[in-house]
Amino acid sequence: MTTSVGRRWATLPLITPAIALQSLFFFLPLIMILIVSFTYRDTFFFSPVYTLDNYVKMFRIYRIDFQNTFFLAGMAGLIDIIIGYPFAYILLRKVTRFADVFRAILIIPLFGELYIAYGLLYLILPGGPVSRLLDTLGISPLDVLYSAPMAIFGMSLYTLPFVVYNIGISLQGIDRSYEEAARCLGASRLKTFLRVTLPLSLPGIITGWLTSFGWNLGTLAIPVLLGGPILGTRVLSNQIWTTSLVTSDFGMGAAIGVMVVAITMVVFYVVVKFSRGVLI
Amino acid sequence: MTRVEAIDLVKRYGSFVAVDKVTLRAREGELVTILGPSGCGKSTTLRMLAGLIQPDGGRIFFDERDVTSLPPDKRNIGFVFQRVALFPHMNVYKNVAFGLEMRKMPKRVIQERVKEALRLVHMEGYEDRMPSQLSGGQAQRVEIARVLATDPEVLLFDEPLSNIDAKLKDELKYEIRRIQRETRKTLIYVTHDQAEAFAISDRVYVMNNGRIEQEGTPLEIYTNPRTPFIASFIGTTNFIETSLKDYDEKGGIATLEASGLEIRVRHPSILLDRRRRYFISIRPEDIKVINPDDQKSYLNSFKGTVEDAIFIGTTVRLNINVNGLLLKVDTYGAERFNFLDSKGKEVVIGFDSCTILNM
Amino acid sequence: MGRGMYERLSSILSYLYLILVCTAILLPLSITLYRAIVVYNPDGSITISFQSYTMISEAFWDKVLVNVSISLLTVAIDVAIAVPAAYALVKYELKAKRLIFTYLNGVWYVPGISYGLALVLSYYFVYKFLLGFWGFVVAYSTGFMLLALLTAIVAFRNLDPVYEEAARCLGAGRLKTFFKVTLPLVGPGITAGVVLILVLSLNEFITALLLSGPTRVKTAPLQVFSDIRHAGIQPFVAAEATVLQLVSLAIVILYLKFFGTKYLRGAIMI
Repeated sequence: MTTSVGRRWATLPLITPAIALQSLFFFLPLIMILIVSFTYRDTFFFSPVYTLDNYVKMFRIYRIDFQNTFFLAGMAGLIDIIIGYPFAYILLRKVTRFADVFRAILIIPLFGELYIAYGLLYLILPGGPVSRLLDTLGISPLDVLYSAPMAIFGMSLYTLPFVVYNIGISLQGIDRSYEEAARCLGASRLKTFLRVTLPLSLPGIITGWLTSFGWNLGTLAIPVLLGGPILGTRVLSNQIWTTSLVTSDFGMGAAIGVMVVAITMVVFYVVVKFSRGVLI
Repeated sequence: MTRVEAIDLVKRYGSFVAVDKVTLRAREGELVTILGPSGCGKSTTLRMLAGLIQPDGGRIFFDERDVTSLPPDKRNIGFVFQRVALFPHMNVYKNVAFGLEMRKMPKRVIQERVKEALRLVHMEGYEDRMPSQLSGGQAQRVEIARVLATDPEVLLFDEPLSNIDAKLKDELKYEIRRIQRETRKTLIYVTHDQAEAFAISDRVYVMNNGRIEQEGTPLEIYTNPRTPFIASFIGTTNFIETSLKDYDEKGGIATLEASGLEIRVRHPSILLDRRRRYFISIRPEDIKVINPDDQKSYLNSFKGTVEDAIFIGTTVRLNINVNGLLLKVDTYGAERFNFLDSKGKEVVIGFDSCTILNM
Repeated sequence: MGRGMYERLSSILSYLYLILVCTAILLPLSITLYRAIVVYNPDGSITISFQSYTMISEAFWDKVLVNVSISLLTVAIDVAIAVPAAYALVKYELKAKRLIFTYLNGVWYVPGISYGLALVLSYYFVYKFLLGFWGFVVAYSTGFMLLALLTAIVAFRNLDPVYEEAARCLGAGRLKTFFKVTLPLVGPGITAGVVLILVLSLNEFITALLLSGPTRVKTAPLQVFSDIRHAGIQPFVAAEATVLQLVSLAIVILYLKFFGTKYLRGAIMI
């Protein structure tokens, strides 16, 4: 029961600052980027030349970048599901001692993709700890390092906490009596898992994958540092940065930026529809 | 000492009417209970008296003062909650002192008052304990001390004993009565426990479905329940649907008929109408298994067969079939053991008191 | 093989799995640390030395200082703005509660790269006075407000209203009740948000990358990024990369030591 001690008008001064902050520094900039995406190069700042060219050209010029980004982010999400599902399941169902330690370690990837990229970069680079091992196996470290699998591995480490969280929330929502009922009806552990637990936690799997995908669309340091000069630089985040701030083609940078926002919005809309958790 | 008066209180939640034109009064220094099943609106009524909920209609007076739209902190009340509401981040002393600090009393006075309040509830020496270190009963005592320390005009207790185990509950309810007598404060007490209400109250309001169904002393309500709900909610009873056969206004005796039996009722408390059917209530403890020779000394007496005898403890409950009518009869004392294997036997039962209910 | 044996085996395997995954999570940090402190001698032996930390340039420490100031200001602003908003969202009947909540959380769903560019455009065009240090503070405050909001909402929701009602009945007004009862009781929950914002804003990279050009402010993660690209994997770069990570780790461990995981669960933890 909520207290009705308070009166309605009292909410206004409490909530207005938050709404104002988001309106001024999130929604207004978002509208600006949308407008700029319809202007030619940097004309917006003196005499705007409106055009649809950016969007028309974008898919031709940056088709590779879209492909790369989707591929890397999608694969990272998949890896996260495969690693994260057992992790969440064990953390919630099997483990009692040290559970909080494992939970705490899951915070570390939130420190940022830059550190993940750097750590993995040094791991494989010539002179690094693994390079000797690779040498004896006759593999060139650079082949391992500047490759899609390495970037995918880095991205999946980055978003693993979100996937574990999403799957965990949906596992917590499953009434244990369903599983107990299945066991009593003669289903083995494996059958119970496959026929009851897994289908019931499917929403968590879907939201987990989408969340990972959405977050990795915007990663920059991991693909650039680990993906190498060919794959790594041809991702959307890098193009947004370089076209707008390095080559001053704000129009095109904004258009790609808007495209990424649109895709992410759709992705997270689906996530919110499916998920019951508060945070993605 | 303050008089409390609530007139036509209404609270709606959407289309659901939680409290429907409730009027109640508590005289100076009186202990009044609102008794009813869960969800009947009794807590909502109490919360409106406290100002925790704004009523959608009606007025509330403390003496001559209209407090209807005052917030709780301006009403000078003492509210004791069902759940332990001691602030978990303050020790017992700080908790009891809280209300006094809010009233900006000097430190010395606060010290004295806290001591006095804790003494009153027999909790001296617990000043430094944290709420988590107290048992449920101790916490509720401190809660009462916290409320008393501020010297409120009106005490409002919302099922304060419902989360306390049975033994302690019995002890604490008499404590509450003692404290109320000692402090001579007006107390409005909400509970769903009839025994608790009857043990401590001067007067009881019985509430059901958002309305007050009956008001009176515990004795009046028990012996003269006015509606089927009250008859069944308060104690156990036999309900019998009857039709009015005859009413001898001079002798003051009404005769009602059910399953071919004639049941006589002395001085019915409601106006009777020959065309209507009436429910009557007979308490199991009012029916006696009697010697067939004594039939004349009872207003009603019938022959019946014992269908079942159940040992409950202080009573043995018999289910007796009279002409197809199944009556619950309670037997007491040493003689009750004689009935333990009376199943199938023929007996004679007699009773004087029974009540015609208002539908 | 008995049931007990099966349980034992599955328990051991469970722990092994968790440890394996956690090792992978810890891999980047530990490798970076390894690079920073392990020195290969010419004779092939290995020594551990913290000399690399002394080789970090003055400029980097300056940037750490800038970073810390930005983070602390961000925390202060976010708590001041989000806690009242969370209180209103939990305690009052609002018509468009879900809509407001979604509106306040929107920024979380926009990739940092796009958000950074959008901010840069608005700074160039509308908020010219924010081209500098305050541009970062405002950007981070807006971007991370959600974390303070969420943890505060969880804290307020877990707070039994009975304490506030009791305070009101004992004569405390609205404000007194909030400061003497509500805030002390939800405080630990709100600190969860503080810790998250502190850690994330200390390490924020992408938004900073976009803002650094126009604002001419460089934060420590950006220095690390440019050093990686220009100086490669020198020990001093590795040392730089560990500084803020270790600070963040210390903050998190300190927090967990005091409060445990309970206030973070449901917000970012299961």
